[in-house]
Amino acid sequence: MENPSTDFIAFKKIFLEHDIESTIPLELNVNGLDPIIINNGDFNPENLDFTNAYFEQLNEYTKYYAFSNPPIDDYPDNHPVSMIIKNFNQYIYSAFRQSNNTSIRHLHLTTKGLDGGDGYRKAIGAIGEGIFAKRVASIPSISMARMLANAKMIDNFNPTNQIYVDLLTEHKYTEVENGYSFMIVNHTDRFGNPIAQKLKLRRNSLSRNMGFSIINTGFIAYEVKTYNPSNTASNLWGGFKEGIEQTIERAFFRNVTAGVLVFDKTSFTNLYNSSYHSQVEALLNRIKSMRNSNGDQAVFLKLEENLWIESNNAFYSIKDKIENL
Amino acid sequence: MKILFSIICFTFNVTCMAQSNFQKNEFYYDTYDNFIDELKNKNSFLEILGKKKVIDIYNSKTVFHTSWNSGEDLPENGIYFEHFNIIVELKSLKELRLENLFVKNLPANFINLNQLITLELCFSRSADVEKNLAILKGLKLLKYLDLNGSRLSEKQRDYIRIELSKQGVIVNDVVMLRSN
Repeated sequence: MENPSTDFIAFKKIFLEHDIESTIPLELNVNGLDPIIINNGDFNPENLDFTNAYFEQLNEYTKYYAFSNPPIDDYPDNHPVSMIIKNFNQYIYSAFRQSNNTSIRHLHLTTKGLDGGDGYRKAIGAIGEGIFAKRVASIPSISMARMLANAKMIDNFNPTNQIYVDLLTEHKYTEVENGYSFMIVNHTDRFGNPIAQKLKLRRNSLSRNMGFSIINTGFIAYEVKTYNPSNTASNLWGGFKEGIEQTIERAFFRNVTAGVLVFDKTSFTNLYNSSYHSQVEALLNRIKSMRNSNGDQAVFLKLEENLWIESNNAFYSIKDKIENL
Repeated sequence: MKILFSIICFTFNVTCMAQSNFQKNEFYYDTYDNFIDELKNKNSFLEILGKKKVIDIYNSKTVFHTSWNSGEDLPENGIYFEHFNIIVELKSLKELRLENLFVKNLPANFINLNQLITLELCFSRSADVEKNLAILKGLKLLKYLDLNGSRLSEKQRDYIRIELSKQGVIVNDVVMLRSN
């Protein structure tokens, strides 16, 4: 960079001339810096301290704003389609916003039939996550301190070891035995009957002393699979098996107490009564025998009533609202 | 007889521990709603809290974090902690935990808490990372920072963790929102 001040003035000019309400991303190429893209409606160029800035400071700012932006290929928050979905159901909006295989834009294209064929399946997956998150959030819980949709967990012993979770709930329990609290996991049996299971919760890096008592923290990682009950048994088996494998990976991650696979009840019943019956049974017996370091079962199944039907209805409700935009 | 003696000793120990704990004013733990109620009389509040070394205030509601990209500054049921003007007067504070209570920008005089060793708080999505980091770096005794539940992007959290770890601060942020 030959003359920092010249580039800096050019940089400022582009910012100030850009309409921040525009939905078109602004791409900036300043000599000596990586290209940055601003497509965040909340971005305010007035936040930049141009009067006292110098090149290093500018470099830091660009890093900051570049990593504050949503992904380039999706609509911004103030886009009409985004606003309609957000008003329809913020949990569903949240699931689309962070999905790794679809987006608000992709959903919009899907409703117009321009998605390339896989949009509906992916949309139902994201909507199912949103509907399940809403169901969990609507049940009052004293122990639950936090819920995170699309969470990321890091193993603090090995930071390169990470997992992504559809829905993560954080629970706090007072210690009742030396070194342990007891945590309740709500799941179902293979017929959909609800079960509340008590698991041991050990002290960990998040435990804390509260005067005379100790509070231990545990996490439940939910993996949500929303499959159409009309799918072939082979497809349902593929989805179920994949879901179980993902849940096992999450359940045995550091600091996670239990992993729960959430599956549509009717879809599971169809699968259970199909030719895959013995394989499903074997898999369920396998997860039942998988124990964590406290000797408790760590992987569970939760069958949700009408998960697919509600997701499908929500998809068509959203479609009616956005397809003509 | 031995059992009776053990019970008496145990009771005596617990009583002594309780007394010493409260006499030294080491601990304060309350919900945010109760904290606000107590704030209504600031003078007596400072009399009560003035010598506390550990303060833990928690949001009693379950907060729900929608995805990071959905843009909300706070999660559902999230609350901004807006009473740092009281906290910064508690100069002997060693541990401050604001559980599920959110902070956009720490006040500049937060640096007055120069005895602070442990800090837990949640930054909201629009928090100014650079400004807050500069204040946190100014807390020379800070050894442990818990940022779990903050609405920062992964890169912002990595940045904070790397910068503070240069000063020997352990940053606990094992649970975060995924951000692209």
